[in-house]
Amino acid sequence: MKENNSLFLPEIAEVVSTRQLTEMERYIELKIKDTREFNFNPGQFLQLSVFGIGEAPISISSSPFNRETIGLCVRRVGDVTSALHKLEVGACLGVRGPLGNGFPVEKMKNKDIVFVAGGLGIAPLRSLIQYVIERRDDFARITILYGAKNPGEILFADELECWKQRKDIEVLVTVDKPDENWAGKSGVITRLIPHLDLEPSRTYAVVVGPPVMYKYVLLELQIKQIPEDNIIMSLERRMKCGVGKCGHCQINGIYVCLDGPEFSYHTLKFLSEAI
Amino acid sequence: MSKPRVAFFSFSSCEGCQLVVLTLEEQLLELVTLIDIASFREAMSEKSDDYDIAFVEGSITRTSEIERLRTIRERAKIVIALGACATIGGINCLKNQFEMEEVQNIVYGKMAEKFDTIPTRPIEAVIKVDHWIHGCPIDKDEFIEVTKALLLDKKPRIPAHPVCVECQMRENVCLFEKGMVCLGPVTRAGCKAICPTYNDGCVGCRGLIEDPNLSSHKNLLNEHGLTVDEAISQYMLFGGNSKEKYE
Amino acid sequence: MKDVLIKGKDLSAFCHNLQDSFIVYGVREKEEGHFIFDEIDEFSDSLEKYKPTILPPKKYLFPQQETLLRFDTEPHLEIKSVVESKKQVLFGVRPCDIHGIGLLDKIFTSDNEDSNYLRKRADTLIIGMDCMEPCYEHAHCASVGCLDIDDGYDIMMTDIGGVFFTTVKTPQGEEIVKKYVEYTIAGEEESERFLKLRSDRKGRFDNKIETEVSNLPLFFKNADNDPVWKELDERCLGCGRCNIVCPTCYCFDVYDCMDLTMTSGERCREWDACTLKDFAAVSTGENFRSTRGLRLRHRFNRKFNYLMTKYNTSFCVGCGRCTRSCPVNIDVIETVNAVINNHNNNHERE
Repeated sequence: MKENNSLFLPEIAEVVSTRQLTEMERYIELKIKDTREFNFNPGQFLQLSVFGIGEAPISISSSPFNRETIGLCVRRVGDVTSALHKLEVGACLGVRGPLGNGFPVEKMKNKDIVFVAGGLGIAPLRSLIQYVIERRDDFARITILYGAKNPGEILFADELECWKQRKDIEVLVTVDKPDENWAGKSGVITRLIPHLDLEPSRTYAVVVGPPVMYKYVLLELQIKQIPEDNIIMSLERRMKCGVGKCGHCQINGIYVCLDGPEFSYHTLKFLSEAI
Repeated sequence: MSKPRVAFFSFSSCEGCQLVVLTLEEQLLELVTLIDIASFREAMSEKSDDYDIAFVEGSITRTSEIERLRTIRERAKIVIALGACATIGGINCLKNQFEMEEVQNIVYGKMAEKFDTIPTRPIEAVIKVDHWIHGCPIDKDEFIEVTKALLLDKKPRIPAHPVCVECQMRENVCLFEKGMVCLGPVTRAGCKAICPTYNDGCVGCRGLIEDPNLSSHKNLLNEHGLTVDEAISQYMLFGGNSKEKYE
Repeated sequence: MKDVLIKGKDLSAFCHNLQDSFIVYGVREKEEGHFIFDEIDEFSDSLEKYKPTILPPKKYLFPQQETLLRFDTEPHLEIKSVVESKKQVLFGVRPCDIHGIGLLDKIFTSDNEDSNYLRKRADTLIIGMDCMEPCYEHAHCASVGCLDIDDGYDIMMTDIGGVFFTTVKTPQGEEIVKKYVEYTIAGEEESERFLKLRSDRKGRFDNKIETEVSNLPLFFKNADNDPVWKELDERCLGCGRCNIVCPTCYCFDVYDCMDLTMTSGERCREWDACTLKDFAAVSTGENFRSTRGLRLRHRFNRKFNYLMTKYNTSFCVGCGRCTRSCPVNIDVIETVNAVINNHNNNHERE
C-alpha cells in the first residue's frame, strides 16, 4: 500500500494559458509540475481541485499527442468551475488523473466516424477529433455534427471552420435559435442525421451532449441502422471521488468513473437509469 | 482584497442568535481579522450604514419593520437570514393562528390601538435573501461555515437532508423506538441533532426539508397516538408560516 | 495455534490487558436494550447476548467524518495526504459485522486501493463472538449466508457454557492470546461440545428469504418496474437511516473545509446516503434518481444485485439494522420477498 500515493492526493499543476470562449465557457491550459509527459486517452477526465472550494470532474479537451500541457473547456456551473474561471496564468491547482477509460479508438480504426456533439459535448470530443485528424489515414469517412443553442454559444468556432476547410472531413453546424447574423443551419442537432448517407456496418457514431439529447439522437441513429455496439456515448453524473468508491456516479450496476465515462448503447440500453 | 463590512440587525426576535455569534469567543477574534464589523448592537455602540453583508435576525411582525428591512436590502450586497425567526418566521408565527385584532388586545390591552401588528412572516417574504442560517438558535459552526463560504465565494455546505442523518451518525437511540414523537424525519439538519441527543423530540426549528414525506410522517405520528390536530400542532410551533403544507 | 479455552470470568481482564497496546472498542449498553460500540476497559457478561449495536463497528475503519488531505495555499500550494490510524481491537464482534467488514475490505481493495481505510484495517484486530441463537426478531444472518464464518477475524470466541471455545486465526491473534489472557488448550471433549453446539444452532436460525440467496440478483434484475417500489415511494421518509446503520454502506461525500486563516484547510469525506434526495443530483439540475422509490430501489439493488453480481456475494449481512431503524417499518425481508413473489405471480398470470 503506497500511503503517500493516496487515491485522493492530487498533483500540483500550473495554469499556462486561458481563453474565454463564451460567456459560460473558458479554456484553461495546464501543465503538471514535476511530470515530463502526460499521457491519456481521448475521453478521459481529470478531477480538478481549487483548494478550499473543492474538486470537480472535467473532461480533457486537448489532443492526446500534446504531452506537455492539458487543455480543458470549463463551463461555469458550480463553485469549483466558477473558481477555475477566476484562475490566472501562473496560478496553481490540484489535478488527479487521467481518470476513466476513454473512447475505444482501436475498435474505431478503419471505420467511418460520425461525431455528434451537443453544446459542451464538443469538449471531450475535441480530444478525439484531434486524435482522428492526426491519424487521419487510420480512419475512413469523418463527419462532425455540432449543435449549439444559439450562435453565441458555439465553442471552438475557429477550429470548426478549419476542419470544414479540409476536403477529408465533413462538418455540419446547427443552432437551435438562430439570430439575424446566422447564415448556417438551424434546428436541433437530431435533424442533421436523416440527411447523412451512412453505411451502418462500418460506421461508428460518437455522441456527447446534454442528458436530454441522447434519446432523440439515439432514435435517429437506430433509424439509420447503426449497430448498438457502434454507438458510443459519454455520460456525466454527479461524481465525488472519480475512482469507484463514493457511489455518486453509479447508474444501475455500473460506475461512470470506473467503467466509463464512455459506453456503447449496447451496454446502456438495459440500464433503466442511464438515458 | 479589502475586508467586507458586516452588520447585524434585529427584528422581532429574542436576539439569541446574535448572542450565539458572541459566544464564538476565540473564533470571533479570528473572524474579525477577516471582516470589519459595521454594526452589531449587542456587541458595540458604534454603528454605520456602510456595509456589504447584512445578517438579519428576527421575523417581520409590524408594518414599520418592512420599510426598515427594505432599506437594509438596498444597502447590502448580501443579506443573510439569521435564525428561525428570520428564515421561517419561527415561534412568532404562533400569532398567525389568531385574528390580528385579538392579538393586539391580548398583548397590549388598553394600548392596543397604539401598536399595529401584521401576520408574522420570514424576511424572504419581504426581500430577496441570499443565504439562510437556520435554527433556534443558530448553530455556531454553521455561522462560521456561511461566513467563510461568503469570503471564498462559494455555496455554504448546509445540509439538505433531514435531522435523522445527523442523529443516527451520533448513534442516538431513535425517539420513535422509545415511543416518543419527533419531527426529525422531515426537518432540515445542521443542528447536529442536538434536541434528540438530549432526549427531546425535534420541534422543527430549522424548517422542512425540500421534499418532506408529510403524509407518511403524519401517519407515523398518528401511530404514536397523536390525532391529526395534535400532529399539525407539532408542526405549527415553528412552522406556522407554512401551515398549508401540513394540511 | 490450537483452539484454546478462555474462562468467561477472564474476559474482563483480557479486555483490560489489551489496553496496554491497543485502544479497545467493545459493546456497552447506551440505554436499556440499545447497544453501541465504544471505548471500553472491561467486559461484562451481560453483554454477551447483545442485539446489534446502533451503528456497526465499521465506524472505526471508515469513520463518519475523516480527513483525507491537508493543504496550504500560501506562500505556495502544498498538499499532504492524511491517514489517521492507531492500533485498535474490536472486542466481541458478531459474525454479521465481521462479514460486513470483510465486504468493505473487498470494496476498498478492489479497482483502486483506499489507503485511508486499509491503513486503519491493518491496525485493527478483531475478536469475534459467535452467535448460538438469533439475537432479535430482525436478524436474518442465516438467510443471507452470514451466520457461519471462518475468516475475517483474528480470534473467534464461542460460549460453550461458562467457558469460551476460542479459535485463533492469525499470528496477531495468537500473540494477543498468549500475551494478554489466561487460557488452556482445548481438549477433545470441549472440541466436540463446540462442534455439537455449532451444528445444533442451525435449526434455530430460520431461512426467511423465499429463494436461495444466490438467486436474488436474477429477481432484482427483473424488478425495476415492480409495484413494491411505488408502495415504498409513498411510505419512505427519505431519512437515510437505513444507509447510515448499514454495515456495508460505504458511499461518501467529499468537501473542503478552510481554516479561519483562509490559507490552509482540509479535504474531508463524510458518510453519504443513496436514499437522500440530492445523492444523484448534478449541478445542472438533473436528478437521476428523483423519487424516494427510485432511491430505495437503488439501495436494494446495491445489496442484492449490483454489488452481489460484481463480487458474487450478498451485500446484506442480515443484521436487520435497517429494518429496526426504519421509522415507517420498511422491512428488508418483506421487501425482498415481495420482489420474489410479485415476480412469480406475474409468471402465473401470464
